[in-house]
Amino acid sequence: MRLTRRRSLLLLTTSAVLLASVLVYLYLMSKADESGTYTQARDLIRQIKQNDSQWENEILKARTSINYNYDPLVWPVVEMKRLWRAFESIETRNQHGNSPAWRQAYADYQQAFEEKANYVERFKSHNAVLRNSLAFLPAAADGIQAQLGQLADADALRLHNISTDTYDLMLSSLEFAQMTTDDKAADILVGLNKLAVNKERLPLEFHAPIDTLSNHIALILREQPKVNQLLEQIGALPVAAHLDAIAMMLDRDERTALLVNQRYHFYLLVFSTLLVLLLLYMAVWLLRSFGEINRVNRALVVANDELEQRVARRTQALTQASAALQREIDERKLLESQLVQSEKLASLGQLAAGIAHEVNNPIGFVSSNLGALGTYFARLQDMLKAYRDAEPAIGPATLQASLVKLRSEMELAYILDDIPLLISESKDGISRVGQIVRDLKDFSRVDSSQDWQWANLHQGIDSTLNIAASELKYKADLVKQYGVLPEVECLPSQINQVIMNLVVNAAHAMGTERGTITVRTGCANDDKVWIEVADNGCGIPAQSLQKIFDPFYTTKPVGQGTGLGLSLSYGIIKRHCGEIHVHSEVGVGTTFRVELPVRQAQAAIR
Amino acid sequence: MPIHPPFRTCAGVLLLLVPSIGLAQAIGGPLTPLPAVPALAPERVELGRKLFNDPRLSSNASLACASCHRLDQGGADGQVRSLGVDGKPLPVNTPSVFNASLNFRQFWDGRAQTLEEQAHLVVQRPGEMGSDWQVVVQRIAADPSYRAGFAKAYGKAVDEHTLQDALATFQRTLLTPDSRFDRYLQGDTEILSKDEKYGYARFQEYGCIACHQGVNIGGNMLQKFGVLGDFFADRGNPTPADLGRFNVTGDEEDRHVFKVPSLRNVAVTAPYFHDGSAPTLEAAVDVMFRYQLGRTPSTDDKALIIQFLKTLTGEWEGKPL
Repeated sequence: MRLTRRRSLLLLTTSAVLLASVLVYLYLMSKADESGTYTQARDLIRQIKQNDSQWENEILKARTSINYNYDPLVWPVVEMKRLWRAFESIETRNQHGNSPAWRQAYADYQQAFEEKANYVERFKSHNAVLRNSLAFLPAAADGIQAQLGQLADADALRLHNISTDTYDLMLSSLEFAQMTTDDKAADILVGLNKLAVNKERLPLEFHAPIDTLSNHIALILREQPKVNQLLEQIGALPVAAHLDAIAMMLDRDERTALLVNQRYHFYLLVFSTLLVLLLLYMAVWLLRSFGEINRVNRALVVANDELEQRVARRTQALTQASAALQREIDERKLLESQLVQSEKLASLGQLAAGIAHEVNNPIGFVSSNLGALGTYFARLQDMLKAYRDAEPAIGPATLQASLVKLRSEMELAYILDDIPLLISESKDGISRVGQIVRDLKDFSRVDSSQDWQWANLHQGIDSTLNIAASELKYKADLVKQYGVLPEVECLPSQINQVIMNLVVNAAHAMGTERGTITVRTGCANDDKVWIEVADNGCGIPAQSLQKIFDPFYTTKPVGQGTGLGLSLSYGIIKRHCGEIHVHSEVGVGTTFRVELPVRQAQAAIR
Repeated sequence: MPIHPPFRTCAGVLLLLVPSIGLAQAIGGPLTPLPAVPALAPERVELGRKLFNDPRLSSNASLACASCHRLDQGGADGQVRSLGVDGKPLPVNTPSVFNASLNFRQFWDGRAQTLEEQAHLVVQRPGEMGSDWQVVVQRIAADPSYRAGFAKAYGKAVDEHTLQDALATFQRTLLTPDSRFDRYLQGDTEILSKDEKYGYARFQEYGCIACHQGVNIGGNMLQKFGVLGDFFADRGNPTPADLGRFNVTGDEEDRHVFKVPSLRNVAVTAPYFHDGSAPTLEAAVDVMFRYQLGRTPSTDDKALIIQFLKTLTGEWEGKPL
């Protein structure tokens, strides 16, 4: 698998490289690079030709002017050489010079150019001296004429002839410069001979000027044909024609190259079209496979989503189960703690009931004994009254006096008055103890703690309030607003417990100021009663309100509250299929309302 | 041709003057001032200067270019013929190196087309520096400062071509601008005295200017020495060097043909001619009148011309030559 993949990769790379090389090859072959050097080369040839014609122009100027600057005849040579070198370097790159035709054309041009340069060089030399002599000629002749004019004693006719001969010779020479013919040359030779003859006839001072003139005319005779010949040779040299030939060859090669370029252009076009088609095909193919991949991808995504949803559902179920379990655990814990609390209370109740029972007996006999004591003392009083009445009958006055004294010292009269009071207060006290014990018994109902029974709620509330009185009396005034209640089927001790919790909470809600706790009862309808415990204490903040029935929730300092009171109460009321509501306003007070069914449904009683 | 003489005179004068005057105005003066010193790569110029003064270019390390082309002596050495590496006189007089780059060819016989070629020939010519380029390259390349210099200036090692290029580049900077005559040409017409201006006029009238023209006042053409007289017969003791360009081309027409030398700084580059036969300007001007112009000037005219020639001395490094 891996091997085939590598092989296909290799194949792909190879074909890509192959296609790219073909493309590059065709591009290079069809590129206009050649025409770039073509225009360059063409331009160089044009410039060379331009220099050549400038050169010729300067030659024309040189042959007609006297004081000529020959620099312009030097520059074209330098420039043409430079241009030719540039041309050659371009053409060497183009490999044109390889064909015999090209080599021939180069050689032809170079030969013509060298010859021309050579001829121009000679032309310069000869032309310079020729122009000089031609310019000097009139002055030289005039000098001789002037000298002749100064000869006073000579033969006038002979002098005139010599003068005319000199003029003729000079003019012939000048004409010769314009129209170089053999006739003129012969004329000049004749003239020179005449001048030589004339010289002999003239005085010695004429010899030097005449020699000078002769020399210069001889020079003209010698140099003018040479200059003319050089000019002809220069004119005959086909430098421009060779340049034209090279230009034509360049054009021809360029046309050929252009044709080749066009052909390759066409190939390039065809090849590019094929490539584009191939690319299009591949694009379509790619798109299609992309579609397939997308489809599969989408399916995968869907499957994945489903899986995720399932996982989420499972997770949720698990979470729910876990939450339920947690709740159950919490409930168990709560129940457990409530059970513990109940047990504690129950045992406390039993203890209280036991004590009450035990205290009941002494109370009984103390009470009955106090009754008997009262009766007995009344009888004693009667007896003592009889004794006092009998006093005057006592004989001895001293005895009588000591009795009176003793009686007043003892304050018998006061004692006699006070004892019945003491007895009645004791009776009262003992009856109150009895009441307390009864209340304790009522509250705990230890005798029938877990039994459902029909109970008078007011009785339970009262005894509960009595028990809690010590907690309340310093904090709040208790107001009872009892309605008429039927007996209610309930677990009285537990209901008492609820009332106890509510009242104690209400007391705790009081601030520094003494408040009022109002306990109301009433019938909601035939089978429902309600009990309200309202206070005007600090109230419960809204955020705490929903937590107050949670187990272990407390706002009291650690150690003072278990946080179980209300939760326990809630549990108790729920067991009674009743409801407990709270309405609270911070700073105004809190009202707890407990609603209980008068009769318990059979199912609830277990 | 029966034409009346006076008329013919007029016709002849017209024939000659009309085209010459007309064209003389059209092409401007035949002499032009020196161009500015070209701005060339300073490292190459410096290398050239060093090489120019380096005797290692000669076979026995006794001669540098500067030994004969002394820049403090008008670019030559004042000798009739300088002594070569073997202590024997060279065939021809040493021409000035100043403004040589403006000459259309180098050497008296115009053998070299370029300064590079000139350097090439001088170094290996037996009588002159008598060396061999291979040896020169070896010697120069052995010098670390040259090696570094060439690497910096040319980006490559020392070789024959870079050596010659450096030498030629240096020589292209050896121009002597600001001669009084150049300043005259540039428009400062007051700088020449009346006599000097007359001298210039004579220089043109006698036809000196036919050959000594252009930017270098000569140096742009070849000319036969002895157009109107046989200089060599009169001088005697013919030498092979007297054949001039004939020695290069073998063409009979080139016998006694030489490059027309530049007249720039002519007053400070005596002796004159290829053979150094004219020790003074006067002697040289005399020879020129006799053999080249075929004319006899008045003493005054000659003196004026010589005065003019003295205005052609330029400056180098800010000092007159």
